[in-house]
Amino acid sequence: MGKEHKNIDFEELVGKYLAGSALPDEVESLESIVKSDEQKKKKFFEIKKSWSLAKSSRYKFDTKTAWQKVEKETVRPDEKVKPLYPSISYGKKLLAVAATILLLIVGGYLIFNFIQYREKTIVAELEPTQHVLSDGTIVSLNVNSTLKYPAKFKRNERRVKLEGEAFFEVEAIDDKTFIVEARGVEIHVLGTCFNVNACKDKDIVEVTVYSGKVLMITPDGRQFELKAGEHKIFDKIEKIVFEEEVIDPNIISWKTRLLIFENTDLNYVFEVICNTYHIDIVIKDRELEGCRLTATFDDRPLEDILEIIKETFDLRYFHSDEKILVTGKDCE
Amino acid sequence: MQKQNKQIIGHRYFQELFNENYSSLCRFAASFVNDPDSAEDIVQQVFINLWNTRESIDPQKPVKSYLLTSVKNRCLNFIRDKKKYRSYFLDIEAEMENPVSEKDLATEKYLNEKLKAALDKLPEKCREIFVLCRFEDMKYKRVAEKLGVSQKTVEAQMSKALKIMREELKDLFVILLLWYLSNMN
Repeated sequence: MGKEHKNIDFEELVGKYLAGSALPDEVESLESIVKSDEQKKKKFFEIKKSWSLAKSSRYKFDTKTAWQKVEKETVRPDEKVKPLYPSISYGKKLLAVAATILLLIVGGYLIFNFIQYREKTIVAELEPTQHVLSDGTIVSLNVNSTLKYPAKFKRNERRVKLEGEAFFEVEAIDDKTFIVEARGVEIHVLGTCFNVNACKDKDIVEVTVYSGKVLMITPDGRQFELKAGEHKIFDKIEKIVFEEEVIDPNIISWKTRLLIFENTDLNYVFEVICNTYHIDIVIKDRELEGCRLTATFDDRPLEDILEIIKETFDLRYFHSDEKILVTGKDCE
Repeated sequence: MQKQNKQIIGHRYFQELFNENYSSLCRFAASFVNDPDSAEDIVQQVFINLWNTRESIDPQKPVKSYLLTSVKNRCLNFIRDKKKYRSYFLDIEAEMENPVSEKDLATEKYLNEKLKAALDKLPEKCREIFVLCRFEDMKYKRVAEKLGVSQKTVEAQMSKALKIMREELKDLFVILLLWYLSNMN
């Protein structure tokens, strides 16, 4: 029996068996190999152990729920006979009525609160959208971004949650700070315009202030005050806050459609265009990455912009799937 | 004597024992039966049984080793029962021996680090296939379809993965049981 399987790789057979992909006759032959060969038997157990070990760290066992089951089976006999509804005195009954009324009031208040402050969500999927919140704040939301906010703001703060990128024009209200929660980072504002970029696929949260003043608070509680014209970037991986020397004028071009390039390398030019017009552009020829563009486009159609860049550098475009491929020669 | 025993395992102490040891015992059981749900059932049964027979348990022996042995025996029985239906278990798995010696200790963190390191040692393709089979519980056929390779490739890559995993984790096996023990304070 064992002979005909001698040439088949042992680990291969064990792997098939463990992954539940072995055929009945393969299981049988594995069995006979393992039975007749001490070495193989030991090896089998070791492989099986490493197989189960590999997954064991992923198992989560819920002790609490399990205890509830076991407790039911193991209560002491004297506890079992405890009456479920012991008789109660008149005083206690009165107390129960009072408690019920109180419960109704509190419950009603909570439900009222829940409806009043329930969370609303806006999502911009295909193109940037603009919303005016109940306090007059204007939010421009970039594509693939989500903003969550309460139907009515609380008395002492206005708190919204952002995933993605948005530009805020916050209406100033005394003693009612406007707070943006962006993937762990908090931005506190009194009245100002600023941009927050906290996209899921990026490891950074970037805050840029255009007017007024904001307070940026990192997840670990560090605070940074940002004035108009300042920006800060929080790196979620390294947990550091830094800034770039020059603020990119194209940070809010997704909203303004104003693109400003000053001796900008072509790679980045296309990145900005991608982010503004939501298309995929890929540079095929590496040499092109050295080309530099100086130009300003104020709310121009995508076709015009691409045409101008094409003429400038003598490029060619190819459409493939949803992408535009760019080819051309080195700039001298 | 019996009275004293009752004092040793009161309900509160019983609950403490449960809370402290439940998840590490489940992990231990899962390494035999390869299925977390069955592992949990087994461990719960062991505790219920401990409670029901608390008066006849030898007070000289540590309760922890009683729990560990019971879990192991129940796992082997479970495998034997399954085996009757001619399924996923080999005869040989129902007679598994395990070496217990008290010379090394491992923490959960150490164990996880070792596992991570072992997985990192796998070549990319190899790891991809191993992860699909192990963590996603995919059959070879589906893995092959998903990755657009032949079943033969999956078999060969898994063989490679298992060789490396065994080699990398070898020294863990001896201390593994001790880890369960040391976790059961």
